Amino acid sequence: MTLPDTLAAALAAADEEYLIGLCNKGTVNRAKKDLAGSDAPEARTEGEEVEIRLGDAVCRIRAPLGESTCSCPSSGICRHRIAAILWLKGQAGPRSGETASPAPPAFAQLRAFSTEKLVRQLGAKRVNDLLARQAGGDGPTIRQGGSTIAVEFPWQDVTVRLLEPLEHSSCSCHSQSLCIHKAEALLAWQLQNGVTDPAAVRALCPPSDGRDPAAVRRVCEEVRRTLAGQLATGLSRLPAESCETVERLAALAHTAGLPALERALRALHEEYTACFARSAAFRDEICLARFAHAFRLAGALVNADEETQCVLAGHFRDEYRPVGRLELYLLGLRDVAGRSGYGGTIYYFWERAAHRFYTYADLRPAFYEEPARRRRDTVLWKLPCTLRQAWNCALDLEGARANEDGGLSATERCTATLLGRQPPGSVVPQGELITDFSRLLAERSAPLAPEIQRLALVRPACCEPQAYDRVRQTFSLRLLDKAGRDLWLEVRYQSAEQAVVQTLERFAARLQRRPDAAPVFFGTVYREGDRLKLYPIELFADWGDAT
Amino acid sequence: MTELLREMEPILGDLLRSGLDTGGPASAEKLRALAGRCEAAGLHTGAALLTELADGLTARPHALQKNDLPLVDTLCRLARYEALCRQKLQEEAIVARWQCLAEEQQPDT
Repeated sequence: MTLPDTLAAALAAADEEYLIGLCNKGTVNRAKKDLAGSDAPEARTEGEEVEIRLGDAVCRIRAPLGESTCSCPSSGICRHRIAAILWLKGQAGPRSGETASPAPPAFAQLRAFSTEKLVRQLGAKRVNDLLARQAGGDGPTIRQGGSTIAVEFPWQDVTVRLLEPLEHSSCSCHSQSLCIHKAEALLAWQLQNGVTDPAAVRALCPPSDGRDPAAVRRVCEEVRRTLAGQLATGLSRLPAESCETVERLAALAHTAGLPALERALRALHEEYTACFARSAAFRDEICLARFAHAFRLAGALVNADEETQCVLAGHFRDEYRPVGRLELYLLGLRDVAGRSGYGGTIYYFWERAAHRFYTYADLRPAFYEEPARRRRDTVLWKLPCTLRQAWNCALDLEGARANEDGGLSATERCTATLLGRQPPGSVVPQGELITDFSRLLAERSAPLAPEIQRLALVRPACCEPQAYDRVRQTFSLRLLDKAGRDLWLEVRYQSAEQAVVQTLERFAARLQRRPDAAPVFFGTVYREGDRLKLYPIELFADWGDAT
Repeated sequence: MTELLREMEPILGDLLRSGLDTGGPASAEKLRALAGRCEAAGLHTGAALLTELADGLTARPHALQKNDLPLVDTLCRLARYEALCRQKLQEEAIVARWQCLAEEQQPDT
């Protein structure tokens, strides 16, 4: 049988993998079975295509093969078309000049497909996720077999088979069009094959991250107008409903994709609430600072270009991005009961490879249950023990996800391997211990900086226990570095801090007996008056230095 | 400088409490006086912001169409400026304290 040249070439290039890529393995197997059990079909050539009658179905096979049609009602590539293609392949035989093993396909169309179009379809969040996964060695599995490329996304249980032309590629989501999985698969393949690089892809990301500039402008102008109106009236004459107005603005900022502005407005809402409740903790200067921050941020967002706007808008805390494999060490933990009505435990980790801190906050609403009845122990990441029991243990976390503030996600997709208890001195390098307190002042004490940026491991040259301040109900310990600079460790006595104060008192008593001890303190640095202070999270009387 | 910032803080707090409608004209004179002292102390940015705010507050009652956005903007910039100055002062106070401690230790060694 004589076939049109284009069709003959398409049939020669289409191996079984290609046919599976056009539909799926089951359809190909079924077509083979149908073909084996039926008589030879009737076929006739009409121009550039061949009409084949298979039982009741009439198929018109043409190049590219994905554009072949069938009289059956199937919308995708049906078993009739595959059977017809297989039969035609058998009839065509080897073409003149064709070598035994054909050259591997170059996938010129896939290479030429616009990366910009892919990035636009995926959106910045999905693209950044993919880049982070690729960088962490946790990207999709790409297998090139014959004329198809199989791309598997294990984290979303999706497999894409890319082939040429691209519109005939298949996806396990059964989409006929260029779905986000196909776009993601093609981008991953382009990245792997050097068609593009992560920097170029990042540059193509829409900076506004899907924000509608008109909505951003509208919300920011509304915030500025409302706050200006409130300042014109004055806090003492404002109705109590102004609290709800600010909260409504925060909700608008959330909807417009402006998390930083949302946080600023929620902080202002807290101050307004304290003011209207006549709380003794209310301070004019703090309220004014928060007011000014929200107002100025809204103004900056209105006037910023798209790139700056993206930076100013900030990130939602619940946006956890893949960070690959983390080598963690649980340095310490502390129980918290915030004014927000949430309470629980914050776990502080040291990352052994990147030499930085990560946290995991196990916070739950505390308004419904008594603290004693609240669940205290958390088992995460398929660990064989609770996190509390993993104190001072090293653990490797596969497939970790973290937010912008270094907060780890409790996702079940992460798996941790417990490596056992180790002395902190053998895990944390000596150089990471801060012995010069001027470094603490310069690097770790910025007011209003997030807690993770104020965490420090401090090794003082000597410690001077102070008398318990009965008026302020405060335990103090003066830490001194070699140059005589002091850092004040202070814990105000309250029922929640009772255990902390008792531990510190025992330690202070031990210091009298062993003044040569070289403890290490892990805590949060802050400034108060003309003193640099440390809130202790963990005290290591025996650091266990690596020898 | 500490003294000037200490005086600036309650004036801005009063403005927040009583509002531009009521507290504005009363604060304007205090702000103008403070601006002069800031200029003399070398706080040029602070002086300029205080003057701008005082001028705005003085002109506001006479305006038929009140546009408070520029005025509030100046007030917020001033509040930020004051906060930054305080931070810087606090940092310097901590360093000065450490230097005092070092000097106290020196005669002994």
